[in-house]
Amino acid sequence: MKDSFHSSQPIYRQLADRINRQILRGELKPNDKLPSVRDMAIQSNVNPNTVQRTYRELEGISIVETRRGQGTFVTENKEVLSELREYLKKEEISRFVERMHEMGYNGKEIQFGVTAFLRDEKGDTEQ
Amino acid sequence: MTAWLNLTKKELRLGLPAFIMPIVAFFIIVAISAYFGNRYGFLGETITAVAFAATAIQVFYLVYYFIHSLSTEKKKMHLWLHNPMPAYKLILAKLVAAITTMAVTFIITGTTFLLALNSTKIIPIEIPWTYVMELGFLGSIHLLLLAINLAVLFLFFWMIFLLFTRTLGNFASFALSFLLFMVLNGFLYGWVTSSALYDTLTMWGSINLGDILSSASVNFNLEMGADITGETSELIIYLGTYLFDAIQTVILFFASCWILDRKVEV
Amino acid sequence: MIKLNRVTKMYMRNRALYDVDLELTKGKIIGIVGPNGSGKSTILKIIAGLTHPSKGNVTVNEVKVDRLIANQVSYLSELDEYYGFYNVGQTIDFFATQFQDFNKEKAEEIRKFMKLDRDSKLKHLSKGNRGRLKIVLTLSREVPVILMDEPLSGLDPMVRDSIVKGLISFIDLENQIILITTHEIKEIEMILDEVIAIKDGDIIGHHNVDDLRSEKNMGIVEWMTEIYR
Repeated sequence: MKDSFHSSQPIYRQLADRINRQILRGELKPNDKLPSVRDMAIQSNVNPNTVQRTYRELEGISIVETRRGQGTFVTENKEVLSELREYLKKEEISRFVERMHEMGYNGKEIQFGVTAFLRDEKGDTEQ
Repeated sequence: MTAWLNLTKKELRLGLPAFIMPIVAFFIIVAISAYFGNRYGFLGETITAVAFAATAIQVFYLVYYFIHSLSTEKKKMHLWLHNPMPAYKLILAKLVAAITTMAVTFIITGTTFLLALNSTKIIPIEIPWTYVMELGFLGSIHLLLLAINLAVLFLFFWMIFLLFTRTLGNFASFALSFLLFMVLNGFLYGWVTSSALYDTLTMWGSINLGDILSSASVNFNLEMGADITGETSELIIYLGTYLFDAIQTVILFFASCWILDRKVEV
Repeated sequence: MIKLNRVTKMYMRNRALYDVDLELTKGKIIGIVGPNGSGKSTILKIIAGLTHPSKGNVTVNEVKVDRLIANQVSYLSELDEYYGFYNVGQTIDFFATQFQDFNKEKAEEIRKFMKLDRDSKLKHLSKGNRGRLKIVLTLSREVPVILMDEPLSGLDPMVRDSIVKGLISFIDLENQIILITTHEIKEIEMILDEVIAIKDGDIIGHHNVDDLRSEKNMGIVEWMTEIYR
């Protein structure tokens, strides 16, 4: 898990991203307690200040909430979580589409390609 | 205070090799000389001479101890100096450790000397032991005072040496410090002590050591005759010189502390 | 918290630092990077009061720095020298007697974390374990300023990792400031808040690491290759 930070983005944002993905994957469930700032720092080999900032950012978009004296928890608010799900989907797609455009594929081609890919993948899994 | 005591304990531990070596050497030399002395029938005399020399040479004991302690520390200056205690406490810890160690060594060689002396007929039977002991006591005090004086003198020039090592190599720094020592000590000190001002400053509070010792020596004077009386009764010392040396030692001590606190670098 | 005001340090004709101004606030881990002989160590020694500036002045918590600042500063030397007659436990105990702010329980905790045996003789300690012991001694003090001169240099990756982990686990960022000089940036990059680059006794860059990433899209290594070119 460590050493996988890349250098073009602040670490606190990369860490926030990681936590978001863990939530989507279900590794972190609603109302789960996040590790303490120090534990998280040790786990991911980053500065505790960075973790602090990550938690603050996540709190800012209501994905986590800090309960005084207890720690930081994943929100139970379904709406926020589905928003997160939607947001990350869009983000990933836009990144993908942007790169496809860069390589010269147009919208139609991308759409086709994706549909075909999904159909093949489905076929593979059904075999 | 506990911090300082623990530091002193560390200094004692640091100086352990310096403590053990002379004692081991002393016993070896005593053993060897006893062997040869015995062959020629001078066992007591030989040991007396060896033990006396070993005791007298301890006027340099503190300097020797400091050389060992400070040169060991020189490799770890960041450890020694990274400490919230002021320099005088750091150095005092070393000095106390050194004096403690010296006391033990001194007692060992001194006792050997007295025992060996007692076994011989060097001292005429007419001279009472109390006289010998008093003389020994006075001698020991002077030896310790002189040893401290020399140790502080050494300390001061060690600090000068440390200042030189900031910019020069070890050898050049040593040579320069030594040169400075020769100039300051040989020339300046000699000039000061031979001046008339020095005499007027220090020639007061005369004490006749002969008087102090006279109570013990009265009956022995009666029996031994006048020539020895003359020797002992004119042993005059001046309190002024003691004060002068004490002040000089204190000034050098605090000058060394000041250098260590303000100028010496890691 | 730490202030250097126009500090110059000369060794004979060589200048180790030239007209350095620096102000650092608490709650941060700050890396000082630069080639050997660029003045990194000198900065730390000057803040620790173990070397004196030729010009300019230095304060820690508004106090003018001299050697006695040791009561506010925990300094880890790059030198690998300890009292060889002590074992690990005795060394820790000795340090505990010398510094009032030394937390013995914390020392025990760090020692266990670093997997050091109390009874090992210092003479027989491997280089890696001596590096770990240094961390125990330096971080066990509850002082406002921690200075570490090359804590990772010459150590193998496993030891470096345990030291970095130890740093994260045992520093108290609410009350402390940590200055680390290093040329092993990779290991330590993730834990730095700020980075200061120096060259020939001059500070040639001083950045918040996050800003460096978000504004210039650069990690410390990329940034260094750019400024030292």
